[in-house]
Amino acid sequence: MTTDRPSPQPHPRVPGTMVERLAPLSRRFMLGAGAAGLVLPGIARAQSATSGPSDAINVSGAHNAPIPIALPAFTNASGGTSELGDQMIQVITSDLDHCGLFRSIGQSSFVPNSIANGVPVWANWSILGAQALVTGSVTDQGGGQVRVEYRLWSIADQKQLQGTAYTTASGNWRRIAHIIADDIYQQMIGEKGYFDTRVAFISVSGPPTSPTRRLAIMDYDGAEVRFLTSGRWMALTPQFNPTRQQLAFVSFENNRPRVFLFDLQTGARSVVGGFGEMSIGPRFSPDGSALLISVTKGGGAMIVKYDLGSRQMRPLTDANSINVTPCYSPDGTKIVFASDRDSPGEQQLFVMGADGSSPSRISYGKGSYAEPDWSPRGDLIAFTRIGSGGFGIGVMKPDGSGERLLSQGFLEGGSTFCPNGRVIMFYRQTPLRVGNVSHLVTIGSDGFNERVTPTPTDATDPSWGPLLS
Amino acid sequence: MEPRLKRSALISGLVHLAVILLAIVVLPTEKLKSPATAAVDVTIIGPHVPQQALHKGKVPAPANTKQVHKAHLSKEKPKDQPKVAPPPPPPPPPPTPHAQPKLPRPPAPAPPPPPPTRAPTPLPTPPPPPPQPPRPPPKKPVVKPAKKLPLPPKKQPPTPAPKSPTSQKHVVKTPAAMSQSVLNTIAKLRSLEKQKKAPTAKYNPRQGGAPQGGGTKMSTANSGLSAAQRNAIGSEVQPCWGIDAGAPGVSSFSVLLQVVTDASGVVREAEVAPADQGKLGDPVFAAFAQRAVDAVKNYQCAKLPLPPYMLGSVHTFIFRFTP
Repeated sequence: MTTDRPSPQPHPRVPGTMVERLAPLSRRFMLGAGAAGLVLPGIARAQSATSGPSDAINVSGAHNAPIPIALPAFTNASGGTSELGDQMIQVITSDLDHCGLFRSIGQSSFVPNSIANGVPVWANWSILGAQALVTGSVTDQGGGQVRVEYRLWSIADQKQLQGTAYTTASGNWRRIAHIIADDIYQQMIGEKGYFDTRVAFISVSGPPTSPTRRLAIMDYDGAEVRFLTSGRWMALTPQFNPTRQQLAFVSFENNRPRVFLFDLQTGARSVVGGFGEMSIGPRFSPDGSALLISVTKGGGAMIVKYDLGSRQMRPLTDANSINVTPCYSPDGTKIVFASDRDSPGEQQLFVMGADGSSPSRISYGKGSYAEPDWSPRGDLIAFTRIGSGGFGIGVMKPDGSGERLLSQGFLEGGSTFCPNGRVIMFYRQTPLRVGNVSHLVTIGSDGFNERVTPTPTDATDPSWGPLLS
Repeated sequence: MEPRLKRSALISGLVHLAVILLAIVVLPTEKLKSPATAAVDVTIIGPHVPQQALHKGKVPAPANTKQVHKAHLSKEKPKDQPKVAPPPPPPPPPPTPHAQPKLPRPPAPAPPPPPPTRAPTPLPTPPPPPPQPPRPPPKKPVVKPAKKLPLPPKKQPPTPAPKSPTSQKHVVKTPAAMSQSVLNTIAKLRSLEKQKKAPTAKYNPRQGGAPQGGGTKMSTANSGLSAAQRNAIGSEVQPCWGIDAGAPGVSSFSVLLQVVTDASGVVREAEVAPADQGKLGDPVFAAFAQRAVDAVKNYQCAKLPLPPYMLGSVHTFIFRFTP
């Protein structure tokens, strides 16, 4: 009897040498190593071009510090004291301190005789911690003309950075001081300044029950206030033309709310028109050729674009909800506005195309949002937020992110950016025993350096104009 | 006790008591008056207060002083306020800037004549010193006549050391800022050009020349520092490092500086490294870089904690400044 033996099972193959183990991978490995050899040096080269040698001494953790600057009084032609020079250096010092990016060193700490033959004695200024120094002189040229000469010095590099002379009427000394401050700002910060500018606002005076509201204009620091209307008719919401010295505002002249244009060069005033039941909040386009106006109709308000050249009006939104306070982006491609279309009675911020297309909501915080203003830089939108805690001035990015409040108070609003987008001005009402008092306040877009702008009367609705020079 | 003693003691005690009573009753009793406190007038002399700050806080004016003229807080209406809408005054004419950019340094004028001074009162001449006794002449040493040695050879002047690229700036400076001279332009370009690596020219036996490329390598002393030493130097400069946090894009800025220290470890020169020179066209970046230069040259931070073996000679370091 025979039985079938099962056929022997084949033994599984056991890897033998390392070559045998690595053989399947060698091709992939060689390819990968070759690719890395080609790519990695390029990456390293790119990194070294931007970040420098790997053994560089790193200095980080910088603090947000103002630049210490010394501003001795401007002298006269013979090197003596000059009353006009004293006044000018005071304005320049105030300007540079106002922006928060400079810290003026007190004149009482200056070492005597620290300028020899027009050249600084560097050690005397270095010991004060000054990084920059401004020297200058004012010379009477006769015939009511003065020549103002200034030099900006770098203490660390011990060299002159800038030197300019201006000749103008002696009565124009304040503007020259602002222009010099702008020069210093631009040289040291790398951006244009904002000191040679004016602000239009509504002056409020008289009894609280029937205040007089007049259109007024002043230098940004509160000097040289001039009233542009008599106060007989109420004036509201002035807005500067970004390209020229012109204002748009609403006047209730003859009890009819209409939009007016005011030419600051000639003093001429012209009527744009009355639209709908009421027209409020005129806003110029970036090129100054058109106005955005909120027009009430029925129970709502719509935003219209009014071309100043063709006198044609085009609605950008409907009037099914309240759409008010529009503002163009600096490039003119978008418009931000406040609307209660999502929740009646509670305004939020929306951004739409310049032709009124594709409105999208950008604000989602608690409370209502109003009076948006787009920064000239294009990076921020300032707004008024109304909540249970009162009013507040805040900023957010154009997509609605990064929202933060800069100020809170009893009643605040009317935010307007300075021409370089660094500083925001708004009005703040503070309650008194009887009535309120309203001031204009400036604050940095970073939330620091809050200052009150002095005005002869209560003030609201500021609008910051473009640079004059 | 004997009766005599008792009596004496009694009499003595009574006498003492009488004296004490007399002292209390008869002598005047005046209270010591407290010293009179005289009123002192205090005048607070404060620093100059900027215009805006006058309106910030509620600082009461001192008594019996003139009201500070707060020109922009007056509640009075302007006097020339017409009833009818006033024609707005035209804005002030724009200034005519005779811009003279980069005014040259003012020439040093002749020094003013010294102010007349009083003829100093002549000081009395001091009395002559007393004559000293004559010293005995020194003993002459006995010197043997020495052989005349030949004169030593004249010392050759030492060869000047090669100019270190880090110790001083290029000698040739632009004599005239607006010079049209080609040679001046070339010299200026050479002073700006810094050799970063050795030339890659190869030896060409046909043409002759050096078998290897000439020039010197641009080297820094960073490699001679340990990581801890580099961190210590960076920490020394950090307190002086300030930036403008609101500048656009500043959070992504980074600048390399070439910093030269002297033998004592004090920063003497600092400038933007060639790798970042191209970025200086952006004025915001240029301002950021200038703040870095100011930080490392600030007298409060310029003394770097170099290791002892690095002191005594000039070094060049590379710094990287980031926010």
